[in-house]
Amino acid sequence: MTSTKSTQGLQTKAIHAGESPQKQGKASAPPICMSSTFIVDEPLSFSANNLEPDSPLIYTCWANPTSAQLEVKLAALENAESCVAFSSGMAAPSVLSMPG
Amino acid sequence: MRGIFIWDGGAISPFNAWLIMRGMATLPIRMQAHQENAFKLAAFLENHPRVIRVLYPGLPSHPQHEMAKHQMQNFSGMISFVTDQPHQDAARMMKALQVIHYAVSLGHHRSLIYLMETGDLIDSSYRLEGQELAKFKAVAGDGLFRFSVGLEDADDLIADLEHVLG
Repeated sequence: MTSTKSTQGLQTKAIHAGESPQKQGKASAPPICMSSTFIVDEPLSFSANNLEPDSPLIYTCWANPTSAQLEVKLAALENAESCVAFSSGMAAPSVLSMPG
Repeated sequence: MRGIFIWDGGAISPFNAWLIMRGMATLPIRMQAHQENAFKLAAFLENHPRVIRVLYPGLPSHPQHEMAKHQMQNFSGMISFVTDQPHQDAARMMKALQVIHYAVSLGHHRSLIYLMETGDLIDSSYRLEGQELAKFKAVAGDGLFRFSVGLEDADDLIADLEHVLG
């Protein structure tokens, strides 16, 4: 998704991480993907029990291209392996105390 | 971890993700500007005769300045300070501030200030008792101002506070 390297500076990562040009139309600025659901072209379980981080897109509640771009950017800025973006600050600690 | 989004909610909306991503692009240079402004405002406050104490980790006067230097690459725009008349000053801020907003929250490009009243803080957050409470009151008095220094011109922020604090 991104050509950002870990050796790049913080400001370069802040601008470019997660924002590689889109396949369709090669937009320089990232578009917003507002679709809640994605067309599936191979057999794919809709159960969250069977979804993996690299599963194809199926439903925005699980993963969305725009949210994924933000997660890549945040992970790059924190030098982290990956990132999960929540809807609010309190949503993050709340889910930590729930079964999942 | 992601299963939690489906079972319990909390997934971010794409539009919000896009807005945050747009803001992230300028976060490092904004943080530099926050810090630059905070140093100027902290220096102004430290030299003001009615200000009893300024708490900013970037200043040598902060009790944990050495640890802050070790841990932080940027001291941010957050300043706390104590005046000799916190409640009267808060009332004046609500009426007289022209640039700084008297409002809760922090970390915006707009400057925000709010009196964190000691009784409220103890009830809602810290729940300190006895010696710990006494130690907190020795620093904070009846309340300290939480000042989130924004990105406005520092001179305008200083003029705003000068007008209020006299």
